[in-house]
Amino acid sequence: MKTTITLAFGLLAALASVPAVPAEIAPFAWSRSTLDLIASGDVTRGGEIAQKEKCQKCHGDAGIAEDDESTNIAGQVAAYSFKQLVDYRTEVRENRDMKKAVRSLSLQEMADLAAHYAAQAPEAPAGGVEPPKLVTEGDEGRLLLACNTCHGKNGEGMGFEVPALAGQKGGHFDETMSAFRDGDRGNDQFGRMRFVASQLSPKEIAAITAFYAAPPTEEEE
Amino acid sequence: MRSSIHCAWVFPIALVLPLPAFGDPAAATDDRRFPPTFITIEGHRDLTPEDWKDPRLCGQCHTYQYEGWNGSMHSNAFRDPVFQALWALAEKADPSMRNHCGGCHTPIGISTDTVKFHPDEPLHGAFSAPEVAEMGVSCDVCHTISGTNLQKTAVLEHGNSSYILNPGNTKLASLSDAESPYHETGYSDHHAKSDFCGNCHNIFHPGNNFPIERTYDEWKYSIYAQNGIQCQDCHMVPVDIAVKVADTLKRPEELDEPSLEGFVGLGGPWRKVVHKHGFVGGNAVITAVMGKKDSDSPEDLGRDSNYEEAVKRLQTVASLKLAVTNQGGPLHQVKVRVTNERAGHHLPTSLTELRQIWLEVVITDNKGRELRRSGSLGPNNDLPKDTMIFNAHAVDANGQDTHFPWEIARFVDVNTIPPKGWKYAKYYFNVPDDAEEVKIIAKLHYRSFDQYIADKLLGKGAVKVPSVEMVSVEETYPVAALKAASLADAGDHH
Repeated sequence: MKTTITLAFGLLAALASVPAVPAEIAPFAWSRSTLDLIASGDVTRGGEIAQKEKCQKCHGDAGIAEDDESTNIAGQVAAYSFKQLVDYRTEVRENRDMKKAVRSLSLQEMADLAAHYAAQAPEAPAGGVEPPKLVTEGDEGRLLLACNTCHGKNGEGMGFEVPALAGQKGGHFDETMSAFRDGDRGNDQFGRMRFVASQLSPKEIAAITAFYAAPPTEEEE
Repeated sequence: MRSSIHCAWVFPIALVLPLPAFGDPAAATDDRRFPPTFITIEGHRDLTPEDWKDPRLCGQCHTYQYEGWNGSMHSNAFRDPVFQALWALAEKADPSMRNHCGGCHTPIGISTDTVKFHPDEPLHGAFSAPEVAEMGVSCDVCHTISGTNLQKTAVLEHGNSSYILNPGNTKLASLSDAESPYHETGYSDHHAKSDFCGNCHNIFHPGNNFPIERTYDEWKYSIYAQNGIQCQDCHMVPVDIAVKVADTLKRPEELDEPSLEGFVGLGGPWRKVVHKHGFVGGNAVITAVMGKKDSDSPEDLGRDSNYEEAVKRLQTVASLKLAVTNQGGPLHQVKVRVTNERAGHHLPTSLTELRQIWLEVVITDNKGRELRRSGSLGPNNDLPKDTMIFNAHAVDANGQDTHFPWEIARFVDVNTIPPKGWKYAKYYFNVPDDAEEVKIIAKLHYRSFDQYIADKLLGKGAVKVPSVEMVSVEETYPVAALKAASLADAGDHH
C-alpha cells in the first residue's frame, strides 16, 4: 500500500516538473481577430518578455543587431514581426534558433514583442548611395514594380503586411533576398517576394542591399 | 405661339443632324469607331497596346484578385478555343463580327484595332493580338471603364460592348477612400452595379437587334434586382457566400461574414469585403481545360480553382422535387419540378441556344425492371430526342435551326428557368401488376454545349464534351400507396 502511494506521489511530482506544453498554434492567417491581437500588443510587457527570452543576444538591446548577419528588428512593422514569430513557431519559416526561441511563447506574448520592437527607433541606412532604378522605377518588362511602391518611399514599410527595409543589416538583407530567390524561404503570401527575387541577379540584389542597408558593423569593416 | 416656334426650330435641326447608325455595322462614325460595338474612348483619342497595363503587374499588389482572375473565363475570353472557332466562323460569315465578338472578348484588341485574323489556321481560322490584348477582359479593361453608352444602343439598354474606355493612370473602382502608391484612384459607383456587367452580358444581334444573350435583362426583371442584389454580389464572392446571398436576398456587406474580409491591396487597410475576381459561373469546360495550373510559379496562381468553383456553383444552383401519381390502372406519372434556387438570371443563361441543362430520369421497380428512362447520354455523347432540355431553340431568318449567334433571327421556343422560378417535366410509365415498389432517380445535368457543336468547332472527336451532374434526387414509392392515394383522390372528386 505504501509503495502504491509513493509511486502515485512520485508520478504526480514528475508530471508537475515537466514544463507545460505550449498550446498548438494554427498557421498564420490574416483576419480581424489576428489584427485585434496584434493591436493589443503591449510595448512594456514586450520589453519584459524580450529581456526574459534574451532576444538581445542576437537582436541587440534595442532591436539593433550587433553583427551584419543578424536581423535588425527595431522599428519593424508590428504585424510583420508578429507574422514572422508565428511562422517560426509553425515552421512555415524555417530557422533553428528562432524556432527554439519562440517555442514557449503565447500568441499574446508574440504580439507584445512585436509591439515592443515596433516602438524602438530603427537604425538609419548607411546613406550616400543613389537609389538604383529598381528601387524607384522597377522594371515593368520583367513585371517588377519599384521596391518603393510596396515598401514605402523611404523603405519604411507599409500597412500591416509590408516590412520596413531601410536600415536592415546588409548581410541579412542579401541573405533574405537570396533565400526568396532560391526558394529557401517561402512564407511570403502569394509568393510575391519569391517572384520578385527570382527576377533579380546577384548584382542587382547587391545594389538594392547597398541602398537600404545600415552601415556595416565594426567587425565587418 | 411659343410652342410653334420651338417646333419650327426643332424640325430643321432634326433634318440636319446625322441620325445614329443603329444596327448598321458598316457605319463608323466618330461616335462609333468600332462598329457594330458601342465602344467609345474618352476624348476620342487613339489607343495603342502600350496604353494598357499587364494584369500580372496589377497582381503584384492585388494578388488575391489576380489569383481569382487568372484562369477565369475573363482571362481566357480571347484564348478560349471554342470562342476562337466560333468567332472565326462568324468572321468568315460577316467580317463585322470581328468587332462585335471581340468588343467583349478582347476590348484592348478592338479598341486598339490590333486584332488579326488568320483564315488558314486550323480548323476554321484563328485570331491573334498583342499579348496584353490576348489577356482578354483584364484588370485594366474594367478598371478604366468610365461609363456606359447604353443611351446609344439600338435597344436603349446595356449591351454589345456599350462601355466607355479611359485607359491611363487612374484606376476606377467602388471604394471611395482607396489610395495607391502606384496609380491614381477614382471612385466609380458603376463598378458595383449590374449595369457595369450588362455592358457585355447582354447581347443583341447587331443586324436585327434580336436579344440573343439576355443575362442582364433576366436579372433586371428578377427578384434579385428588386432587392438590390447585383451581379457582383454573387459572382465576386466565394460560392458559399453566393448561396447565402441568394437564400437571404441580402448583399454580402449585410451578411457580416468574416471570411469576406481582407486587404484589397498590398499595404492597404483591412476591408469588410474583398471581392474575388474569378467571376465564376457555370463554365466548367473551359475552366477545366484552360484554368489548369501548369506550375507552381506565381503566374499560375489560382489557375486550378475556377473549375472547382464552377462545379460548386452548378451543384448549388437548382433543386429537384418529385411527385408521383397513379393515372388509372398501371399508368403512373412522375412530375419533376426543377427550381432555379440561386441564379439571379435564367438557368441556363448567356448563349441559351448552345447551353444545355437537362433532366435524366430512370424509373425501376423492386424486381429491377426498368420502367422508363429519359435523358441518358448515348454512346456518342448525344441526348435522346425525348430529353427535357432547358435551353432556347434558335432559328435563322428562314426559320431554319441554327446554333450560330450571327444567324439567329428569333427563338421559337424558350425553355429556360427564371430566377426563383421553376419548370415541370412529366414522365409516364406503367407499373407491372406484380411490382410492389417503384424507384425514381432524377438528375439534372449541365454542359456548355453539345457534342455536335464541339465536333463542328474543334473537329470531330477532338474533345468529348464533359457534363456536370448538378443535383439528383432518389425516391422509392410503394405501389399500393400510390393506388390508394389515387382512389382517395377520385373519391374526393366524386
